[in-house]
Amino acid sequence: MSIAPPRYAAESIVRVGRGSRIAAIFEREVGARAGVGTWLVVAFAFLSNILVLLIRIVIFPSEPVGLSAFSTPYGGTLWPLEILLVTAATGAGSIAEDLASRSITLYLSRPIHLVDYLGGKAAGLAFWIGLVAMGPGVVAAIMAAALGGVSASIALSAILACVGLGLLATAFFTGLALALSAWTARALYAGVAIFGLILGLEISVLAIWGTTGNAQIPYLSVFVDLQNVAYYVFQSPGITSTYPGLSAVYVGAAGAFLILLTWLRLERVEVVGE
Amino acid sequence: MTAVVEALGATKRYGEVLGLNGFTAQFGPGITGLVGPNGAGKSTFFRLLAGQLRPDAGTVTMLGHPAWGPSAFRRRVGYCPEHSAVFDWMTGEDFVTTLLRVDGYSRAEARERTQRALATVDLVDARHRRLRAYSKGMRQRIKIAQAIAHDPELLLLDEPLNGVDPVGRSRLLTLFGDLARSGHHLIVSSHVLYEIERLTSEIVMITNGRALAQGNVHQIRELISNRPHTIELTTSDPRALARALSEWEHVTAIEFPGPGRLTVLSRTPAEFYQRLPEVVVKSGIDVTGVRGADDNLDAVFRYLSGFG
Repeated sequence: MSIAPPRYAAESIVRVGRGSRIAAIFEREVGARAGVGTWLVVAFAFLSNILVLLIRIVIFPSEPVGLSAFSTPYGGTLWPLEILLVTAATGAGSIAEDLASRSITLYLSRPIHLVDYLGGKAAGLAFWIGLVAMGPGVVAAIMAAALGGVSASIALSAILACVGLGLLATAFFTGLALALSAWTARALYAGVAIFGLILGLEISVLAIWGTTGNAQIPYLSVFVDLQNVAYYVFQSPGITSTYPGLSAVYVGAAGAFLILLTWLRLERVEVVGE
Repeated sequence: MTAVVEALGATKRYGEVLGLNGFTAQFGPGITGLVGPNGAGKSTFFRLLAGQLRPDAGTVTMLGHPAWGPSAFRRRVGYCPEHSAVFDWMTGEDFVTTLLRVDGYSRAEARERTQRALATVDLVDARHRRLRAYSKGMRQRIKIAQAIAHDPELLLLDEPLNGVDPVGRSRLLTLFGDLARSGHHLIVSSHVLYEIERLTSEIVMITNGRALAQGNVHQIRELISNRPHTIELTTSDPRALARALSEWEHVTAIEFPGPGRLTVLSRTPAEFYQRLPEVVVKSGIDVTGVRGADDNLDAVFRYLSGFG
């Protein structure tokens, strides 16, 4: 007889792919951000934008009602402000809370890559930001078509324009939220930074533009860039930016840069106890 | 011994504070206790193993792989951190299921394993409650559930019994023993030495970020030759027994701590234990109890760390 220590026998389990693992993080992130504040911002965004669009298109239509009628909420500052609100409500705690509770260790001690974690988080945030950025326009277009305010083809064009513009805004604000949330373990600081950075940028751009009159300065404003792209995609007559493509590239590139910044930051994050 | 986990000169600095200072140790199969006072570097070492810290110098390998950085081998490892580290807004069931899905299990498989893990740590009834409503002990158990749910080969348990009630503590100690008997490897840290003693005699002692000693606690004690061993005896006639023992050269001191009790300091405990029956038989003194007072983890640790 021989005595041998017990041996561990690994079970043979078929593991699902990376997509499913990212989906698990995405689902949790969507659930985590579904607070009262988030729902209030989403409800306000839907009500205000749909109301504005239906008043403009169905109740008091100007003749003829075309695609440009859908640009109404997107040409002002209410829409980007709503996105900013939902970004702060959902994004401030996204990574900061994981760092504060150090629950990030539980994710990253699993066999996943940092990019998977970041991808799940980004997708979860993009869900909420995209809901506010695209949802009201898409619903309003469908309602306007259903109520006979516009033709089906115009409604479809409006939906495509809303989605295109919304995706651009979603990419930028998701990147912004992740970058600032990854920089601190305090969600409140991240929320203040999200507001402070964007509103500070807008005020600075306006001030510098007013002083210098340089026509290139407004391109530094995210709000102005989104308006430029909105006017272009909704084909608003008489309100055309010189370079709407440049605005789109600025916003898209800034979003990509912010996500890259987040990745670089998290790659260096070490979870240290008190 | 085949090392399951190995640290070679692992050093980790937090600014000017040294979390680990050239920590070198090998952790073999079965259960190994990592013992040391608070701030000794136990959690820093666990974070290095969990891939959450990068060593500033030296290497840390686990199951033959470098510990830093993401890798597929991590599915063979279960980690129960010391700190809370739970998602407060989740239910206990969602918490374990989510982490299993991140591990690569399908939704159905994750749910099934979650139920098993929750049953193991006795949290089935609380599975639908949000974690923010869990007590400290329950949080501890849910962290253990997520660590064992995927049946990992190696379990890293950082102070796993903190805040757990006595009944739960006993159950968890039994669970850890069962896991080791079924071939799993466990590294368990604690600053409560008797808990580790109940689990294993294989230990690594750490203080000030350095390994003080490693191996079997009894062997370590025997290696400490510059300190006499304390032996407590219970007898009907302490003075007569003291007279008999005082003739032995290796007995350096004898004390009378209380009625019917005698404490002897011996430089060679093996010889003491060998000759004691002879004295008892010859003198006819009734000796009802003999106990090596410092052949335990606490005493060994006090001696080695200079607090004894």
